[in-house]
Amino acid sequence: MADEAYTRERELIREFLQTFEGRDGSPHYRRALQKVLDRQSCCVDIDLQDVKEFCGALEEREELLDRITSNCKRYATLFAEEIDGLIKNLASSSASLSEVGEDDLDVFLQRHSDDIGERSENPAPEVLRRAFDVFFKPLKGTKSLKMRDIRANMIGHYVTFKGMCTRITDVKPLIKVACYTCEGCGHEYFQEINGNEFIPKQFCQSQTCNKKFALFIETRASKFAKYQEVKVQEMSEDVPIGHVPRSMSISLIGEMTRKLAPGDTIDISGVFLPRPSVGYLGNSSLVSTTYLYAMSVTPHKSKTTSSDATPEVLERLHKLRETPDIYTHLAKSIAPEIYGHVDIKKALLLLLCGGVTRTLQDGVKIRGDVHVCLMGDPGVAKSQLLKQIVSIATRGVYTTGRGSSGVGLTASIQRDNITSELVLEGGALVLADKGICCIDEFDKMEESDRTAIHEVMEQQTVSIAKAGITTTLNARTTVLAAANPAFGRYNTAATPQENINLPAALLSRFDLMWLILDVPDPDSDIELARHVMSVHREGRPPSTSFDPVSTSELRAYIDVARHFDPYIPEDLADDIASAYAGIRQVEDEAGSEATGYTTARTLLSIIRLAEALARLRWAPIVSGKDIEQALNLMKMSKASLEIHKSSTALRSDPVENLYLLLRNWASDHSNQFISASIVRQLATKSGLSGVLDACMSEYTALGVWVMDSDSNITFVD
Amino acid sequence: MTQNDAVDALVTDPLGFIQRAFARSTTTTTTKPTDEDWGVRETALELTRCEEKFNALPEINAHGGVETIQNNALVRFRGLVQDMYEPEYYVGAYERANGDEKTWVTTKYAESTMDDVNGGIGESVLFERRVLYCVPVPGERRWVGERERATMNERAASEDAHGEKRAREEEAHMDLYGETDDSLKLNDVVEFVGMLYYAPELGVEKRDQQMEDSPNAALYASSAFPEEDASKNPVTSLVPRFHALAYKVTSQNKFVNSTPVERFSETEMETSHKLSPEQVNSARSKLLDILTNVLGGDVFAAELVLMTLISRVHTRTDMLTLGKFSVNLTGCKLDSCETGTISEMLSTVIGQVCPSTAHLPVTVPALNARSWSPKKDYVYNRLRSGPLQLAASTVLLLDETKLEAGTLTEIGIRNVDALKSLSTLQDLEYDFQYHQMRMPVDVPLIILSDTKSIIPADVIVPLRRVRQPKVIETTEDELAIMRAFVSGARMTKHTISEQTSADIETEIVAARKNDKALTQEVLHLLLTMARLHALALGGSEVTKQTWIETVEINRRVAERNRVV
Repeated sequence: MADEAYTRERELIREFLQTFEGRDGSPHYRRALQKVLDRQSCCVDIDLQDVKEFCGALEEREELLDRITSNCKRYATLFAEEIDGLIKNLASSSASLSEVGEDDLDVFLQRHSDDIGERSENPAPEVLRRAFDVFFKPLKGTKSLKMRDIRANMIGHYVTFKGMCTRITDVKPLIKVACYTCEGCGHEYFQEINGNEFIPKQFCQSQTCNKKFALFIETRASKFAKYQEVKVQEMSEDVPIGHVPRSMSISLIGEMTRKLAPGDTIDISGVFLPRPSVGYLGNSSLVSTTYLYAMSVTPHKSKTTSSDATPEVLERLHKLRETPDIYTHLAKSIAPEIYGHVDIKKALLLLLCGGVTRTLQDGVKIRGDVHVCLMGDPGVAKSQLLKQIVSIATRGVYTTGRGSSGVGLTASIQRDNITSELVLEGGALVLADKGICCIDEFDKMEESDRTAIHEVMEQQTVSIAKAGITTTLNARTTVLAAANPAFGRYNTAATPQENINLPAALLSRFDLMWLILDVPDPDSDIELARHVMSVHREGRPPSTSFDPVSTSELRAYIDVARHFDPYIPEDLADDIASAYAGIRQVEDEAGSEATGYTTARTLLSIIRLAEALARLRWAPIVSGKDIEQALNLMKMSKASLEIHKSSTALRSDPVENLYLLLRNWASDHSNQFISASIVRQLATKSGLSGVLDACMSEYTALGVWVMDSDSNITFVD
Repeated sequence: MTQNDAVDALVTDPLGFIQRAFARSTTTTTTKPTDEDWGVRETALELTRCEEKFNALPEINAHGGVETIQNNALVRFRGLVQDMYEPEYYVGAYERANGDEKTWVTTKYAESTMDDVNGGIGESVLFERRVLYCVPVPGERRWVGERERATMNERAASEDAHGEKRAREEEAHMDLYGETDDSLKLNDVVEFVGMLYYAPELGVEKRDQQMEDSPNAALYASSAFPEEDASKNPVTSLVPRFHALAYKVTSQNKFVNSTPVERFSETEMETSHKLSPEQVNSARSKLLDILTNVLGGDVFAAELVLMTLISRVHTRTDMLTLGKFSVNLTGCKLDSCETGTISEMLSTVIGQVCPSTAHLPVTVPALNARSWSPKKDYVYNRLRSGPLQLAASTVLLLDETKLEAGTLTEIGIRNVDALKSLSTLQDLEYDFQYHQMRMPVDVPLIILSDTKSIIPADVIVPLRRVRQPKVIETTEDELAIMRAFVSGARMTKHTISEQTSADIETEIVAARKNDKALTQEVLHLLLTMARLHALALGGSEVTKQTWIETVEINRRVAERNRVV
């Protein structure tokens, strides 16, 4: 397009630069220009959001934004040229300039213009004086493209996508304007260079010299830009199964350089361009390579990818939330191919949701992560469950206790091959910061890792004091461990302690322990048989059973749930306290037979599980039912460990147990009257709150006690 | 022009046909042409339906080398997708100045322009194409596709002279056009129809020198990563370029008993073989006979090996890989006085009946030497292949008999892990340095070892040899029918009737009462074995009888393990 056609555009651009006011009402871009003039900044960032607002104001401007994004490189030049014009009219704040001082180029240019003055048949190009680059910044809320979706029709367009940096070059000078001096007459020439290659001028063209003298490049007066090239690879989640990730070459200029390191995840915006092919084509296949001229680069601090759920997805999630018994439904959706084990899946679901991490006023942190340890015979699908959790979690790392990488689980000091500097390399637990670390073969963990894991599980940090490096790394990681019993198979004759073979200090850090045993049971066996047959016949679980929530939906649901920070209302605190006291008491009575290690940590576990349950309901407050379910889950977890007892000890009637409990309390306190709150506390303490109503009505009917309207009871003698 | 004439025109002069099709659709010179196929694809697909003409197309793999093929002639090519490159942007159409008159010309489907473009070109448009790197299917046996070769009379003569030597050179850059789909995946076996471009004047021996001082090298070195550019655009003598008009994902099993036209028209991968019961019986008994002889007279082990040979992953969900069946034969170490090893003999006979096989000795030095699974090389931006990058249904034979005590390096440990996940999940982790990517594979696995293998297998059987292992003679006719049987059985879709299903369920519930070890995993294995047992007998339906027999097989396996 001819230059005249851009006249209108130039006017618009000028108007935009001069008049656009930021949110605070200040002339945003005029200030930016002033900064450039004062040498405090060497780039002008044009926020496309501003352009959009500017365009929205008047109808005739409407297409400016579209034209910028579809012919971006040309418009960058237009902006730069207009800025050149505007800067000339601005007066530099003298004070700041003297601070910075004039550089060689200023001196040179001054001399140059004095020297040739009027006889300037070869004036210095504007570009030489230009001390800034123009970068367009993406619109707010621009949806990142997949690298795979960037196609031929987007050449020249402004594109935004996400990727991972794989290779990076050094920052090198890229010549923009070459300045030559004739060794004969001292005449100066300028050559503007666009692209990566140029043919240098060789001989002086002036009449005095008559092409006899050679030209020399004057590096002092030439203009160079900082230039860096980077390879960016497609994000692994965007790669369809069975495909290789794509990659793209990125050119970074000026202020864009030195922002990236290999391995960084970045949001990048820029112009998708073909590389101008220089020279002759020969018998070449006319293939042109492409690259991205970067305009905006933002490295992600953490690698977590918060899924920005679209409104449609959110709507579906809201519908999902209305499902009756969402807790069980979601739990069953974890690894639907593995039949049964609903309680374990519930525990895993709560692990995915997690409790609330609290920082007390004195700076002490209480973790919210729910750690779970699965134990069981080989071949009960522990590893599959772990892998499934890794795939559901937004950020999950799967590793085995016998970590093969040498980095181990926590962190190690390694010597970098290239720079031979000592570098700190994070192990699986550090890599899974703010995520879930699934550790298989937990019992076979190396001693050094085992000591470090104590710290990770409670303090959520890894401390290193090796090879002169002393530091603490964050490891806010939820641990899901799987361990085999000490004797290979679970020995029902031995005590749980003998079977578990892990130090008590470590076990107490798990909120839930689970023993998975495959116990035959006619009812579930039929279900299992039907399940297996269906998978082999039709390649999917029986359709009648239920419709599992898909992995991606489950992930999205949990993502939303994790944004809730539920708290426990004061009136429920007593219930928790008495329940805890109850567990302690039971353990005390059991003596050496006890299967758990109930400590203050158990109390925190109950709170965490209750919070996780509230999150699952997307509720801001923990309800009594949450606590009940949390306690229930803990009880199930304990019961799974006491499997060897359950076969011998017949379980008595819970209603009767509660009655006896109340009776004993009454005789202990020599008081026939028991208030409703105490009744409830006693029931919760012994884990019998589920049968409270049944007990009350049954024994009232028998006339053992009288219940008043407030549910207080008085024994009748 | 009728479709038939169009097909003829395409076969005789493909590039001319494309150019004419392009010219017809771009009558106006005012608008820039867009990236379409101008009816070329439809004609190419029509060609794949014409039995005679399509069969007559030369097939590159069947040839003694690409030298015999004329540049830009229409040919067929079969290969494994080894790597996928970045999409390529090229000048797809440009204006050719002819005096005052300007006409648009396309370079789509062509290696270069037909004009001398040194004078520069006028207006041009960029089109996009996808580039794949294809290699001959690893471990493919020479007899695959032989039948089709025989029909190509005079050309077949040159084949023996070149075949093996040229094997590595027959890889090609595959250019795919106009597709936005992602239907082709890594490790797919694909049959292509299109034009080959190869510059014989740049001989192989000259290539290194050519690479250095050819003007192309300088031209491509325009980015900051020269190694990568060079590896993506090698001279065409090194790696010929193939411009695909049509393609079809296929399976090597199909090359045993179907024609090219059938392969292109079939939509279902699963078929059942067309053998008569008598043929099945004779194929099966002969095959068992061969295997039994190699395994020193152990009929039971031979049956299990046969089940492995016809196994195939038929269902894959997030967590489950159904259909895979690996076997570990222990006690395979022969005394030094005996000639040959069981694994060599087994590899020979399996190679006679299965389209492709891989035979890997597992030793400490071999494990430590290199990564067995593919690895991304960021310097050259290429996927470095490993011995475990195999096409679906390639039988993998691991020979662990020479394994001795030693220390595994980090690479070695990773390789063992890779083999473990290959055996248990049938997936392979590709190393992309910054992250790992799991690729599904489908490789029947046979492990020969002295004692229990370090790699877990679905079934472990101690070998009971009663005589010297030996390879027995087979006739061509016997081989043909055995190949048809194995390939056919592999691709068969199995069925389980509702009644049988209910019966088996009852059996399972009853069995679990007595046997605690009958976990979900064991049940999956038993059902897979039941399927394979049915297929090995030439049927496709799993019946109650099959189930009972499978349980019996399982019992015998357990018994053998107890006794030894």
